[in-house]
Amino acid sequence: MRKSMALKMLFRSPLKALLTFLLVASASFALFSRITDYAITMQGTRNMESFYHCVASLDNEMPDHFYTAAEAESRDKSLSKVYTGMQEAPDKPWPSEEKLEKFASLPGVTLSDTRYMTAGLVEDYKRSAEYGSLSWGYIPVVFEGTYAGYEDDTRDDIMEGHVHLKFDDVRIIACEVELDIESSIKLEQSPLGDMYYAESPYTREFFDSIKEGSRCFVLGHYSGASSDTPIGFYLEDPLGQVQQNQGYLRVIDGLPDNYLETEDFARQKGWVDAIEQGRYIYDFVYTSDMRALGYDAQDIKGRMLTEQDTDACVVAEDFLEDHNLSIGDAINVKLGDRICSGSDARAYEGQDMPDFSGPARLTIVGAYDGEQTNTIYVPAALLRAKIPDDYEMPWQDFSVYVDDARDIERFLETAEAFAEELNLKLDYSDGGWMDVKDSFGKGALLSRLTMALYVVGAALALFLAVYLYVGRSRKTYAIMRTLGVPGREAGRSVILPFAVLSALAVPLGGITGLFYAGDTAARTLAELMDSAPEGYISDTALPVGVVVLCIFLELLFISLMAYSFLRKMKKIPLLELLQESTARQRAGAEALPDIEDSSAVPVKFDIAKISASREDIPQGNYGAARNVASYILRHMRRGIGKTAASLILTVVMAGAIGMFVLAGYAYRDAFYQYGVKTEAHEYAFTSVASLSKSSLVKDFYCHDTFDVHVRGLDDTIFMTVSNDLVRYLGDGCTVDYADGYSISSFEGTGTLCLIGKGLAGELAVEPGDEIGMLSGELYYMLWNEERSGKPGAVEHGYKQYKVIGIVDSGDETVDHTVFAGIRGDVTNLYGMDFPVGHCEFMLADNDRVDALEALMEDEMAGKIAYSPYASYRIDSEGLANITRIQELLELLFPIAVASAVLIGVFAPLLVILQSAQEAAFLRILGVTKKRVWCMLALEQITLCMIGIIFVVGGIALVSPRLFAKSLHTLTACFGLYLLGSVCGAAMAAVQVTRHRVLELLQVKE
Amino acid sequence: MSILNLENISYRYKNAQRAAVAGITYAFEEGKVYAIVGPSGSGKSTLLSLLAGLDHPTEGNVVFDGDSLAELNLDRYRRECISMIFQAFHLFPLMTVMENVCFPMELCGIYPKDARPRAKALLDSVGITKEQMDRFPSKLSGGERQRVAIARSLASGAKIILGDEPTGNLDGANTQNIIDILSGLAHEKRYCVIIVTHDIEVAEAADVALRMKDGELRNS
Repeated sequence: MRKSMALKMLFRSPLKALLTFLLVASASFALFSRITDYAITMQGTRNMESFYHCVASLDNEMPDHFYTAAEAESRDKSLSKVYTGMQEAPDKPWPSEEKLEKFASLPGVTLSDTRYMTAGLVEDYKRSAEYGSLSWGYIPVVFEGTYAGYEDDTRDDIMEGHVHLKFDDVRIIACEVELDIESSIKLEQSPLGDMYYAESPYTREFFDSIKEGSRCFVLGHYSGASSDTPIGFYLEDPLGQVQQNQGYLRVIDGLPDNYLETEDFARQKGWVDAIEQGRYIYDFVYTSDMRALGYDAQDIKGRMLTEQDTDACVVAEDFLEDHNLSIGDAINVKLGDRICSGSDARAYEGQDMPDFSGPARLTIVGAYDGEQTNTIYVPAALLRAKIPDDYEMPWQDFSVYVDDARDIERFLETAEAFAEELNLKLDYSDGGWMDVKDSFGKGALLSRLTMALYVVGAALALFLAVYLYVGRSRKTYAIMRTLGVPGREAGRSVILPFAVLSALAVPLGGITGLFYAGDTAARTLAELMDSAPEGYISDTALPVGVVVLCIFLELLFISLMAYSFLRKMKKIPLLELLQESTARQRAGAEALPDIEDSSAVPVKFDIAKISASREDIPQGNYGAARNVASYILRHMRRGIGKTAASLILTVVMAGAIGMFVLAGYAYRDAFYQYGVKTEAHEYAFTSVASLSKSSLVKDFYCHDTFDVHVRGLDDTIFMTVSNDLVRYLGDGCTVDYADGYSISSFEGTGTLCLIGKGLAGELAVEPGDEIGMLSGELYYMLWNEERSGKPGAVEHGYKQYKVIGIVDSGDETVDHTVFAGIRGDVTNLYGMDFPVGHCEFMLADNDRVDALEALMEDEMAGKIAYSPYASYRIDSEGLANITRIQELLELLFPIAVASAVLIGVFAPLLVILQSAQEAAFLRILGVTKKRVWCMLALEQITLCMIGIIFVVGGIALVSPRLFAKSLHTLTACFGLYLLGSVCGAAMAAVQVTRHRVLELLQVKE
Repeated sequence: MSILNLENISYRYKNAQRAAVAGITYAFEEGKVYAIVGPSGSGKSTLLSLLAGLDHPTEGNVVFDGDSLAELNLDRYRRECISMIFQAFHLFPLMTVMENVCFPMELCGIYPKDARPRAKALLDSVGITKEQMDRFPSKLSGGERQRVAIARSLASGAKIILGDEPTGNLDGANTQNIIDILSGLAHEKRYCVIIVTHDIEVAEAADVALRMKDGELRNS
């Protein structure tokens, strides 16, 4: 009987069953799509947050200072020079171990890492030439050649005392790199032994003593090409240390072919062996966790080294490519026993090579892309070298790492205070987290609030469905009980149809919402994966367990609600249920007069009092509108439960839409507020000048320093050009300007400059005077022209600059520097376009990252002749992250609105359908159809409008700025929701009045 | 004098094999209580619908006071000319007793404050106390609710009362009360009371008992 009754209830009220099904399915759809959206958004946010970390170090470096050396004389007093340069200032004291431990224990710190470097041998794999190694630096080389005499270097005063040694039939014996050279070479700038800075045996007499045509063994270093000579061989200590009588040049005529094996040439052989071995020597950096190296270290293929590693290593990508290796391959290494400082462990001193222990077999687990391609990262556990007691650790070799982005702010607060306490500077990199954290936080909060609202809304909608289907089946239940059906069975008969509907609707609606939201998100993320940071994993799938749990919880909620209604039904006496005394049930059993007692006091009525005359009926013009309004208000007041439920449902659904809209705008704000910083290095000056005027750029800043010759000075000095000299000079400088001039004068195109106080004194210039300058490059070009027969070229080449101010800074370097803006004719001063060391700016329009990238590429490609080493970096990763979330929100927004609107349509529809009987009686009383429609529909529409007004007010209070920005979107969404409610209410009202009145009055549901 | 005439009215439901109401011609007069009895499915409720103007006969005419219902505004007819009382009372649960009775007057354009004195008088006349007038229908007994329903049916001044098993939910004493009220209305106030009933007591108390069978109306 239970099943047949249940089936009848289900199939004989198809409209009610369908609407209930749709309401439950809509609620599930909304709930699951929102859960999916929330999960994806939070997952995406967490993923993106996971890309933000902080690496911090304590910087104890003191800046170098400008110095003027005392006069130095050559041995024969023939030369006397005054040299200037930059001298390293001693660094501040490095913190004690205790302080470092305290730094590493600051809140938020995940780990700390101390790095050491030694030399290390990699068997079988020679080191490649690094970037720039052929243009500067020392590459040891040993060769044989037939001495062809020498010539004096007469290029300029500085070169006086230098000679060029000439060799023919050159044969390279040992060199760190493969050289392709001519058989005849000329050594560059070999200083004669009586030069002031080297007391060496290599005097003119020495070279004169070598017979031309003698076969010689030569030690030197190679520094690549210069503007004058194609091959830069230098007869100097290949390691840059001044050594005496090292036998760099020896005549080997008459010696056996294996002269290098003889004892006499043991030292030279040692050098050859060292150079040969040196080809396999790399810089080994020992680290316990590469994450502490900073953001550059995270840009590696494979993975970084961690504390658990003992036989792994990370190499350069170029290393893999050069040696046809890949991640997962293993290399045999030997580890040096001496800690090195500086950037090059291969800067070993002469033949004092480190001892190498091993071999150890290391598996390549990662590969980095960088300039220092001969660095290999190995686990700290492999460090065998003893750390000297007097070892001065470079500050960059100790750092701490904060893994969780949410800890960064707290960490920075305490770390900066800690650094200040130690009189050190905190150097940190947070990847831009501090700029975006507020937006992330706000977006996540809004997403959470929206999720919560949707959960509440869906719960209310489900409650409504249960109430309308089960709660209103009291009479059916009562009739079955009256007929003798046991209570449990009667209850199950009532519950069963709703259970069937829910069991179908919940999974259908839920999984549809889940997959639809997940699918749209998956497609979006798939499109964006190309631009995602390496390692970013898009995951739009919810774990199966969570899906099952959510469906289970929803069904459990529905079951509990249904059970609760059933329990209430069971407590009410059957007769009351049959008589539909719902108010009595709500109020609790209030004592009622004994209506069934036939001996009750007889009723006193008096028909005579009744006036049957129509004339006794008062007249009036109480309008339909007032009648409807009065009916609606009374209904809302008296049916407070239903009113509250409708109102809360509207507030929740509209609130959820509102939160969704605000989340979108919050992320849009974050998008436009995010500062996209671009740094460009070595870009051509004309490119830099062009960039500074580009509409894509704001907060532009650049500077470069190069040598200039000033008329009246023997030596070059520094000249710094910058678009913002105030920023460059800093707070500690004062400028004494000439009348009528100020810093804004540099915005013009005049050839103006500032000079340091010291320089002004040397040149005896005052503000307003002019000085003649030309760049070092241009000077040499013109000097060569003069030597080639164009007298006065240099003198005519000086460019006149007006000194508009004298800079007083108290800094020796600044005091001997010339400063100019970038608008003046700097390329004319330089003699050509030239690379600018530093340039940075912010993107003016975050929508145009691609345009900026294209511009940077164009400028780089177009000026490659002048700036072959130009590079740039646009820090747009955070922007890409925000864009991802924005696009997800935009994709999911229609789903969220649609599901909320669906609930907005069905909820009033079902409520009104339940009022069918009341509608019928209104019709019996003579209320017109239209007025009945108004009475039924306007109540729900009014509640909807009130709910929306509450939501609008709430949003305006919570976030007035976002509210103002999103007003038109909110208006459209709420309008749509209201329209949905109007449609649902109107449809229901019309449907209700279509039935035969008496049928409705005779049928309960 | 007849106030409500049925002129050969018939009503056939869609796809029905036979007519629910078949060619009834009858004149209902003021000042009488009519009881229409008959087995289930005989067409009593259908006839009531036709009398109340809730349906149009497929054939024939219902004439009220000389005017065919087909030419009248039926909403106005139900507001001002007839009233109905039901077995399940059908009082508005969210309106007090007083408001229930005032409501039909409001529909006729009477302001609530003007309707209240008349409503009070009507309720008083059917034996509803002052305290009961401010209660909700759920707080009243079945007999009291039906008396309120009667008072409501009198509010608009309609002279025809149609009852669909009005005593079906009442005990003997209350049934008698309702019969007495309806009889009083008919005999003393010249109402035309037409009651569809299964109750023998009601049928016997009526002035005219009519039997409905197979869609036809005959004197019992």
